[in-house]
Amino acid sequence: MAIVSTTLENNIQFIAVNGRLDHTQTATLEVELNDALTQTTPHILVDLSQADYINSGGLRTLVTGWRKAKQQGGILILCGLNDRLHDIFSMVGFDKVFTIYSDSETAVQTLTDQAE
Amino acid sequence: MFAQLGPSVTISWPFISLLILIASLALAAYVLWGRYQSRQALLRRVAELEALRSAGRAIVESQQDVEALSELIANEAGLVIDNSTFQVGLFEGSLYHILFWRVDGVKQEPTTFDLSENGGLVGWVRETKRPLMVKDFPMELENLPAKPRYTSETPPRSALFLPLLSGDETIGIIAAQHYEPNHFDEDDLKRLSIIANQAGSAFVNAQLFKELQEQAWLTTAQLQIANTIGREQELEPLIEATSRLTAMLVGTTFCTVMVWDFEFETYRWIGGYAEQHDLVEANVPKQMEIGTWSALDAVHVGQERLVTERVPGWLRPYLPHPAPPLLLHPVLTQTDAPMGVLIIDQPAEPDVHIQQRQFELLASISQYLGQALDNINLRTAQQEEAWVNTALLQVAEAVNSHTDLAQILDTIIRLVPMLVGVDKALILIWDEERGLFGVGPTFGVDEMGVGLINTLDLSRKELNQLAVQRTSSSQTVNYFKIKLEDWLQKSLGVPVALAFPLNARGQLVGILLIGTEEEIFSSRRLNILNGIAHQAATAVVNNQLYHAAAERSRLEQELSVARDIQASLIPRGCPQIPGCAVASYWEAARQVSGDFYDFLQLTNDNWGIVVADVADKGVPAALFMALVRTVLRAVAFNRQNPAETLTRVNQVLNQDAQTDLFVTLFYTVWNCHTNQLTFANGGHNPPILLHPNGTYQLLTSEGMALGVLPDVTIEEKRIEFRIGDILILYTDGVTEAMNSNYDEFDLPRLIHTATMARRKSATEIMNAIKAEISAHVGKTPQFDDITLVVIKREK
Repeated sequence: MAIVSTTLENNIQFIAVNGRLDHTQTATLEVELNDALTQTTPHILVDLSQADYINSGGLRTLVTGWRKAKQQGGILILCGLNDRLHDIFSMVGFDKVFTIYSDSETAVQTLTDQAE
Repeated sequence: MFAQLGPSVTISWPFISLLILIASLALAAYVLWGRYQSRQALLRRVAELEALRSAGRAIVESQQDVEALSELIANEAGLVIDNSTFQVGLFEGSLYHILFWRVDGVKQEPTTFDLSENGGLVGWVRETKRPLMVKDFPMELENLPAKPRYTSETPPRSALFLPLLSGDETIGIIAAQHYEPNHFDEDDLKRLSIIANQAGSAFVNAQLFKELQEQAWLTTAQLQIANTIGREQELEPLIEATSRLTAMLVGTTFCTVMVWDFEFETYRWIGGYAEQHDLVEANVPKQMEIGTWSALDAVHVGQERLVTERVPGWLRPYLPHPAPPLLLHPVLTQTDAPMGVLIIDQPAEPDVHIQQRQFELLASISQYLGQALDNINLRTAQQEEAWVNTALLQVAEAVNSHTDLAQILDTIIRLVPMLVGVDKALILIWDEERGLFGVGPTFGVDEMGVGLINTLDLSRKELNQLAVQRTSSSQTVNYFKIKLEDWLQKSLGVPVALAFPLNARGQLVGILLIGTEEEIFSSRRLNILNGIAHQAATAVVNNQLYHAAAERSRLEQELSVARDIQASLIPRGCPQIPGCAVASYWEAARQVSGDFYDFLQLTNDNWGIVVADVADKGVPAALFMALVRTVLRAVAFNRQNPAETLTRVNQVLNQDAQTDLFVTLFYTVWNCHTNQLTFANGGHNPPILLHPNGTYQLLTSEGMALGVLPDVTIEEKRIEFRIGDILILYTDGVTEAMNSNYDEFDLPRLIHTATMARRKSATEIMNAIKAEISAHVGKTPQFDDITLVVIKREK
């Protein structure tokens, strides 16, 4: 389990979450997100392809990041949700909040287009 | 002066018989006269023998040193021969020491001749071990067995030379001389021979005695050394006493000791003794580092004594003029660690014998002194330690007498100059919130200096950059010498600054800054400062812990109040909903929960039933839960349509809530007349509607969590709730209840458990589910709040 953060081209902040996104990792994700949010117009992609679980705390952290990015004129998008995560997102209605891509390439492309 | 001229006659047989023969002849010629004469001769002979015997006894029995013995021999010889010009001398190698010497009745100073070039008549007598009588030097010059060494202006004409024998060795000579020729006869030779025989063995005895005496003297001297050096407990008196004693025993005019300072690796001058005039401290370098005086370096490194002709200028006033060479002797511990160097002046051409004795004494003195210095060092170290402990105890007492951190640090900073004697002291305290050092209490730093440091907003990194030298003279002391930037120089106004990190429990909580005029700090002061820093650090951390503990206990108290308040928001007991039996369970993962459920009697027929889960746990979630409950109650009583209610609640939450929290919420209105449940779902886990035949439905409907987006579309659905139907509302704490393998309880298991228990009462169904959850999680602690509501339609 880990959260890995990198800066891609065009200053796209890429955060990959592995394992369970619950109380064990939300604090770390929050730190990484806040770091990414120091950009003036943050373009953040959270890759959940390696995440197998998310709880309400994890959702909250993502929503907070999404909201702050939006407030700063940027964007936070998601990609790679497995079926289980998809169900959770859809149950809570967050599939209507977040832009969700199935793969990271498309997601990065979208962000790149936006960043340019 | 001892010239021998004239012919020599060697006489080696006793003369007594001849004398007796002459006396007998005279007796024959002059009977009466002869008788008389014979009697006179006999009497004279008896007197002579008596004189010789007493001389012999005096000589043999004397237990004096060789000089006194020589004089005694001369005096005794004077009783049997004319010895107005007389010498007694002893050989030592090629040297001939004249120990007693009289010329024309006038005693001369003892003197020494080297016989290696020309032994002269003395040398011949020594070689042959035979007596020599010269009756008249000028007459016998050609016949002498050796060439006389020296001719004086008033040379003697006649002489007697007798060997002093000890076994096979000629140990010395006695000789009598006279200005008249033929002054000595065979009788004189014979008489002096007897004296010489006795003198020989007497000298051997005397020399043995002298050696014994010297040995005894040496032993006494060593005892004295041991006594003197062992008695002194303090460094200065020890050096003074040792110097004085060394000068006295070794026989020099000057003695001093440079003492090695282990800590600072330098020699220090403590004191000394000078015959010339008192050593004046001001004229002596107090400290002498390696590289200052090459002779001292050589002894330090080589640990061997050394004689140097090059006398340092500062020593000259205390030495005779011209300055004699100096002897430097190493002073070592028993394990050969250097403790110091003993320095004495050395007579230009010391006697071999005396030198040997000097060396022996110096070795003894150095040995005792080394031990004494070692002991003093040890004792000093113990005293220092005791001193440090006492000082730190004072600090500890001061620290313990206060509970307020500011007071503690203030006390500490006021103790620093008292205990260590520094010019400036200040404590920088790490401010975790601001991420920089702030100025704590100070000593000797003016307001401007404090202001200056405060305006700098020192970060840890900046302070690290200042540390020029991480110094650890010992393992226990940890401090930095600090680069004096302009600001620091201005603030402290001193040339040297030391920083002692205040480390406690692995964190740097502050820095003790010391400003001083001195370049060198003793280990004692460093130890104390280190200890003070440690105590200050502990005080800071304790203060933090105290505050944290106080805060925790306050929070716990507040939480327990909050929990009580929150519990009061959750329905107690079972509401009397017409036609329904209700059972509920609510458990917070922490003290307060983000879950809640509620039953609202909207009208006589309509009951609102809600279950909700605020994202995240703890106090923020609990507060948000209270807000949601209040808003829902306010909104729901005016509306009969769940979707409308939730839409309004979402609007209110989005307007009011400034937090990032959101809530998932299922809300249904039960009408006991229409038997219908009207429901809307704000992103919550869909409840289970279980039918008596074992089939079930999940009450899904479009919607989303409330409090995220201001405008949401929420679907509303309707479903029959017949007799025997069971409605199970829950939060994800139920389905996601985990065991130690991270296996979740999961929805199918919940449905299965409920299905199996469907014929039982609501409470029993709930208990069955609870039991199954407990069985599943075992002792694994749960991280989510759990809410479970079971409603069974009964009639």
